[in-house]
Amino acid sequence: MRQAKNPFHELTETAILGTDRKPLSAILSGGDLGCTIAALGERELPQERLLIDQLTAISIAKKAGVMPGSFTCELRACPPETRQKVSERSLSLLIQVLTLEAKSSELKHFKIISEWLALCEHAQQRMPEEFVPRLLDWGKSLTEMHQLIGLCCGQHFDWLLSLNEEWRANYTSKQSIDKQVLIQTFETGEQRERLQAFASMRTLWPEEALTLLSNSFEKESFENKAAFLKVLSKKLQFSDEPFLEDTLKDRRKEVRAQAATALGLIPGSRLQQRMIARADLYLSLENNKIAVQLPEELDDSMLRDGIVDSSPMYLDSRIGAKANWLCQILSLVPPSHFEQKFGLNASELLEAALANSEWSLVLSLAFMAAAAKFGGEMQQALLQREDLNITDSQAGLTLLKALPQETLENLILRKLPSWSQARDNTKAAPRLDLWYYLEQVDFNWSERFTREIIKFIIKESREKVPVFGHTFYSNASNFALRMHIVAGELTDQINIDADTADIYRRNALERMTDTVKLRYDIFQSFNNTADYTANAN
Amino acid sequence: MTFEFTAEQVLELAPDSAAAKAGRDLSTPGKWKNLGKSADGLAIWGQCQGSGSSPYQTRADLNGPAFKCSCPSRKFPCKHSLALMMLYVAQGELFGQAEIPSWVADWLATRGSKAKRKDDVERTPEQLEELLQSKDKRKQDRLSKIQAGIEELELFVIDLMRQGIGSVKKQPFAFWKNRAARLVDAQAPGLARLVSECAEICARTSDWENALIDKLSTINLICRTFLKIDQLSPELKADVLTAIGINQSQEELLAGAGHSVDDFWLVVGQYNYTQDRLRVQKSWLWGKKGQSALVLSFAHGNAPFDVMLIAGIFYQAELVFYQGSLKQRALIKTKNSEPAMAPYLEGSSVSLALNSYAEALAKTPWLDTMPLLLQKVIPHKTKDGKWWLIDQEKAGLPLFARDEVGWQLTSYSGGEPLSLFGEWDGTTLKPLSAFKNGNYLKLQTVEV
Repeated sequence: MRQAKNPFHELTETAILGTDRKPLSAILSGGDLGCTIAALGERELPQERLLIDQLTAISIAKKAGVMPGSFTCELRACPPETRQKVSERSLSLLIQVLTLEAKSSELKHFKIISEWLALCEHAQQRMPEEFVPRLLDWGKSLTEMHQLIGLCCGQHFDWLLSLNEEWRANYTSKQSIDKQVLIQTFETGEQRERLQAFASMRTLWPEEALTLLSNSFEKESFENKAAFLKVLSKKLQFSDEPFLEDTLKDRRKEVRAQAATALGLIPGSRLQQRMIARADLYLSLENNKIAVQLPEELDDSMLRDGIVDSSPMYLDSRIGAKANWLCQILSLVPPSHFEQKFGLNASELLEAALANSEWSLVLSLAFMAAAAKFGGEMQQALLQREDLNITDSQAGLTLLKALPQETLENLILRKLPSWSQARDNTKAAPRLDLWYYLEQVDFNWSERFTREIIKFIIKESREKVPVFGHTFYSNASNFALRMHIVAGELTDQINIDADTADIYRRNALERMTDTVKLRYDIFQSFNNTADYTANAN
Repeated sequence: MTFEFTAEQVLELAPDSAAAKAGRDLSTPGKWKNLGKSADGLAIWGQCQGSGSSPYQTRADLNGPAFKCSCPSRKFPCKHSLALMMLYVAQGELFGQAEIPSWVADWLATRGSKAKRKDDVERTPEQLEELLQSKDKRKQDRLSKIQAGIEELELFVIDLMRQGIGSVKKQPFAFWKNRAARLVDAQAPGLARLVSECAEICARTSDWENALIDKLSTINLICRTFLKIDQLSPELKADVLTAIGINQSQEELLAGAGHSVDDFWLVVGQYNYTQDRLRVQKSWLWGKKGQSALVLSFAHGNAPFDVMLIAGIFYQAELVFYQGSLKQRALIKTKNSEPAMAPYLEGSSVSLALNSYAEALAKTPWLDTMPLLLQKVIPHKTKDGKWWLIDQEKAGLPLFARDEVGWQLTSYSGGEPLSLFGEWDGTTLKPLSAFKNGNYLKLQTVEV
């Protein structure tokens, strides 16, 4: 038997189809509303008029008759918080970073928020609960921040994770590292996730990580191969050598070069021995000067060992192709080998290299690249030479980047007076070198170093040095992020002259001071004690 | 007297995010000099060095708040005004009590006299009579135009019923917009807005049919009621004219035509939206005596809103309500901020709230939204991804909220009951604010 249709649905159907296609039929239904609808339909009016009036009555009745939903579930409350909330000031600064500064660089965003969280944790305070979801959303893909976020969110962290599946998946699976999960991510994830998984595997289970990579290596694109080798070379061990030697057979020069770089870092590796054997053919000591014999051709064995036609590291109009090959070979030989071979210490060896004016540039570049890789006394010898312009070449910048923080800071501070005392203020060039050096200091600056650099900037700003240079302009915010928090006490002394003709300089100085002040405001808002200042970096 | 604004409340006053950021950047003591406040704590001032040769003179009247700055910015409040307020909120101790400088005193005096000047227009009895006659004539002319417009609109609705609303789904936007434009010509902007909303409903991918039927029903109801306007009670007459878009004269309401209520009012919910290139701020006020009120504030471009209210703040104010059955929309006749008053109000259960909505519908059946203040409710997300509020009786009300807002509410509640204020449209509740332990939380809304 056909079931009778709901009269209200009948009316809706008529409204959708139109009375031309579905004429209005009499409504038979009980109840107050049914009677009202029926009464409306009995009037002597066109059926379209009746239809809209009946629909109107139903529409109002629906709204007026809404019944509340009925629930039986028991909702578990969050355990009481034990930490105090952060101050209004701290919170508003964080919100500023999360919202108003959202358009600034990702690095700045990340650095300032992580600093805020570290201060919050140090003060044993917590985020107000109403902002916890926002923080959880912000940090869900930043695995390295999860622990800190968890601490700063108080009891609400676990409680909200128990309610929100997405947060739970993001925050819990990565807290306990599961080997199988890492392997699965490596096998099926996006390239960025695969690299992260491989890096984690490499740290925790290095041998298994190598096996994993060996198994899939042939199928990888050359970009992926180079990227994985780069991760692998961060923590090398002797057992990696066979795999890397095998990789030297790869068709792509980018892969071979990366494998050669890695092999060069394994002490006494076969590649290093081959490079030493080659280098011995090309360098000799004659009359306290190093004489150079250039390789005649780039043979197959050299190509296999990762030597390329023209390495960008040694691109210089004064250096030819053969000298470029030689630089690549020498950069993979520890300078200590030549020290022993020629019976010279590092300074004497460098002196002998620079004494031959014809080859001084080639040898200095090669030694800088080798010192960056192998460290040793050659590093100090190079840094002591005032006549070497380290920032002039890629090899020199690589050396600076490889220096330990204290060494690099001391080097810059040693050179600072010469930059400060440039005699002619209209010539900014000698000063510009400082910014190249600072660009390489990509760790957090020490308090002493920060004070000296800020003093230098204050002096430069007051003396209205005409040009700070592009390197300063493009790095001003990064410098501010690396500075010790003490910089916040000093930046007011920087003269940001509104009338200056150099708008780039003014903008850069403003960017720098704004970032430092924001960090300092955050620091002060937590009312932290001096002991944290000492440890802030 | 001290005012307890929060930094967030001050930033809410910013005309845009750039001004808010600039204001915050300037809110450091190093940028300011000669900071001070009046003995009664109502006025603050300071001088900020900008790009000009002399510092900008910035002053604020906290009893408003109101601002004035000598900078050339067209934004209002400018970044200096915001910074001054931010600095006062964060480091009030920097503002020592001092004698009010002349540049602040003059401004405060001007503000007082401007308020008085509005009442100063005086007319002779003959002029008044003439004014009333011409006003009556204009009103009659307008009503005739509206009647013609409504009759045309009724024919349009009848045609829709004949052809079926299924036929309009594929109609272009202009189909509705042209119809709305005809209603604007007929001087019925309220109806024009409702017709425009039909276009938006038709653009939906799901459940558009029922929503369109509801909207057409509302239009039908207003039209039918208007056609019997002479038989209506004064309240219902006022309701239907308001729905059609005839504004009540603010001067007449303030002069005594409107019902006035003096109370402590909490700005319990507030959001902004843009309507026909006009910025509108919708502020819901809730009085200690239990009455709610809607205050609308308007502004063009970067101009300030004509009424400045801060969400989460109590005001001691006399409100004058527009004529109508529900006494919902109101004007502020006089107001003072009430310092340091914990935002606490009595709300109702879900069932009682729905009953009050049904009662309101009985009075004004085309009621668009109604403010609801619910107490002891807990937010909850069901497995189908929908948000609900559940009260102590386990009765639930569906929320119209993005996940972001839902989780914020959940976290704020911590699984414990809280009070919540929102707009109920007969189907879902749009949450605007929550209260817990004497604290107020403004919830983010998407601009309409």
